[in-house]
Amino acid sequence: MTNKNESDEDLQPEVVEELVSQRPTPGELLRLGRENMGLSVGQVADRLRLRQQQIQELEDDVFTAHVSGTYIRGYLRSYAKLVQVNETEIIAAYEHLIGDQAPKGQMQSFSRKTSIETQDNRLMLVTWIIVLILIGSVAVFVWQKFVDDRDQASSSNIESSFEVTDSATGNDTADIEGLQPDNDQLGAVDSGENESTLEQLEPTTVDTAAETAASAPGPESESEGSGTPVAPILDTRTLVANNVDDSANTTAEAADNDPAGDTPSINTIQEQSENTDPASQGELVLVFSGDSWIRIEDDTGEAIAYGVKQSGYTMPLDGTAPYDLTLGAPSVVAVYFRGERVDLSEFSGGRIARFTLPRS
Amino acid sequence: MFKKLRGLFSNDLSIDLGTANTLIYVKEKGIVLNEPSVVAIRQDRAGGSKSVAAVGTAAKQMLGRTPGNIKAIRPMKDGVIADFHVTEKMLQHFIKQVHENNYLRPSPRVLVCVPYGATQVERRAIRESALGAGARQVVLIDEPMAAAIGAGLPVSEATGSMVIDIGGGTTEVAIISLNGVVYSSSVRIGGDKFDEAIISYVRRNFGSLIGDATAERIKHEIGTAYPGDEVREIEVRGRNLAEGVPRSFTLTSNEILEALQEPLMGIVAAVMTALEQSPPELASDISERGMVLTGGGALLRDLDRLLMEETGIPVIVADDPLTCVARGGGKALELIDEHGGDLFSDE
Repeated sequence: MTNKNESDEDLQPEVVEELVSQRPTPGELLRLGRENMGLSVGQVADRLRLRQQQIQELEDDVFTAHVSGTYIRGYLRSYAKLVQVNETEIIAAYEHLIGDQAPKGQMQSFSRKTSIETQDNRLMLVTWIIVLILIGSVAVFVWQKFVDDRDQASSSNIESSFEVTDSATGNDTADIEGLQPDNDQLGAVDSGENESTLEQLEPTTVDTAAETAASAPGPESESEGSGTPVAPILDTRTLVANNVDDSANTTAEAADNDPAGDTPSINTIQEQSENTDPASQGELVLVFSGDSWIRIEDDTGEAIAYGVKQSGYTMPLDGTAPYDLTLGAPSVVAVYFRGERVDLSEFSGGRIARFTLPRS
Repeated sequence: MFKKLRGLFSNDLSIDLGTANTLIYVKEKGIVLNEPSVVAIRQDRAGGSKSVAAVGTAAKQMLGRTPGNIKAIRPMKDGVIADFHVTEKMLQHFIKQVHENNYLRPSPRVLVCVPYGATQVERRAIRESALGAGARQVVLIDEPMAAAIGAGLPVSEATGSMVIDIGGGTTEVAIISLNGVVYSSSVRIGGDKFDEAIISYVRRNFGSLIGDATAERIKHEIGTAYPGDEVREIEVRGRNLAEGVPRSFTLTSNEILEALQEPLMGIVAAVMTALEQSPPELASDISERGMVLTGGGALLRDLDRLLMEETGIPVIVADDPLTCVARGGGKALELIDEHGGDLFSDE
């Protein structure tokens, strides 16, 4: 039984091939129909308005490749109708004969639109890249601004904490030990690691900062570069140095040991810190905590100060009173006149301040 | 924006907005709708609001059989819009019918086939009508071009292809080469004119009045364009004009041939004119390969024989001639991104 089935399966492809080969081609069917009708090739050609050669090719199943399948099927259908053969049968035979080799006309385009569109797409791509770059740049700028603001805020916090410490400790209770040179700290401030060390030191507590300030000018700070980045920190910490007189003397000795002499000494810091009191710098002193446009005229009518002043700038002025002041942003300007701070609270809310000193 | 979003859930459609039938071809699905271009409008009281009672086959069955409050309208006439609002409603109905999504209103990209002879106003009306029916983009293509593509003619080759598209309202004769129409003419003769000719012939020779539907049935069953060996007969009933009562009578295919002579000669004249106007090289190509008949009118018995005898050129009938225009439009729609404005009609 199994053997029989196997032999059947073996035979199947051959049987199929035989059946396929037995299936009449459209040409044979048409020729047969024509002969049954008693028509000649010439008569058929005359009736279908085709050339005899074309009729002969149809009967021989020779289908010219360059002729569209639509025409061939149409000829076969007309021929079949003429010789009274079933059109469907002829078309089915034709389809079977050619199978997948049917000529498939590929349409070609003569339109410029596709090339224009391709070019437009490229331009669009470039435009998108530019837009993305712009967006990226703006994002980076905003991020950097945010980081700067954060750093500024943290440094101002440190300043304010220094002030708090100053008021809390007082001059007499200053911790001298805190300003002693410390080899370990100096090692940390040593060259090559200065920047990272500074970054680490900035947000530290007052004690650590004070220790660093004291230890910076120590004999171990060998490289020239080591003194420079430390200096800003020292500036910010001058209040501590100024207020702690005893400790300043101690650190001054340490500073004298600095062989290079590049690192600013505590004495220098002391001198600077004495000068930082805005009230004592002149008759009229303006301290800017933010950018502001100003115009100041003295009694002679001459503009003794004019323009935009940067944040952090302390501007002592000497002229002939009375002064006419115009401040673009009074909220960021502290005005000291003859040692006393002028009250600018009346110009709050972003108003431009215009007033005369001394006030009448 | 919302139209684009809805477009994601819509199929691209090719619409053969014919006088007699509307066919819709959907990309990668084929012909999905083939309905008569008839709309039944209900108006319950004079001056009251109108509503659509039926569209398509259901509405066609009402033609000539409606009560006072319903009107069965054929909004297309001679291949162009005769009633703008009704056409819009009909398109809206058909577009919705071919979309299975019931939640989002479809917003497809639509290609509409228009007669080559349609005026700018008529083309604008068709475009506006399709947009009003919910299409997000409307592209127009000349019917002969769509018919040639649908018939599988080598329209992009540098050889002349002649196509005769006999629709319900118009017959378009065109010679096409290199994706362009070299010559085209449109005559307002089609299946409707055949029906009218049969009605007129029956009234004149039999003194009876028959309706459009009966005339169409006569045309389908025994209509012929060339005298054949076999004579077919059909028995029809009509209202006798003299007696005022229905009477039955028998018509033969030869009588119908006689009835159709006038519109048929109009088509032959249009074909002859096209051949006369054709550039010699293209005329040679056409003479070698023949011309192709498409449209519902191509199904009229022995029409190819008539044209063959009159012109002396081979005439073949395309595969499934009724759907050639819609299929061709669909094929063009599939190539729309590739070919751009190459195949399409300017408004």
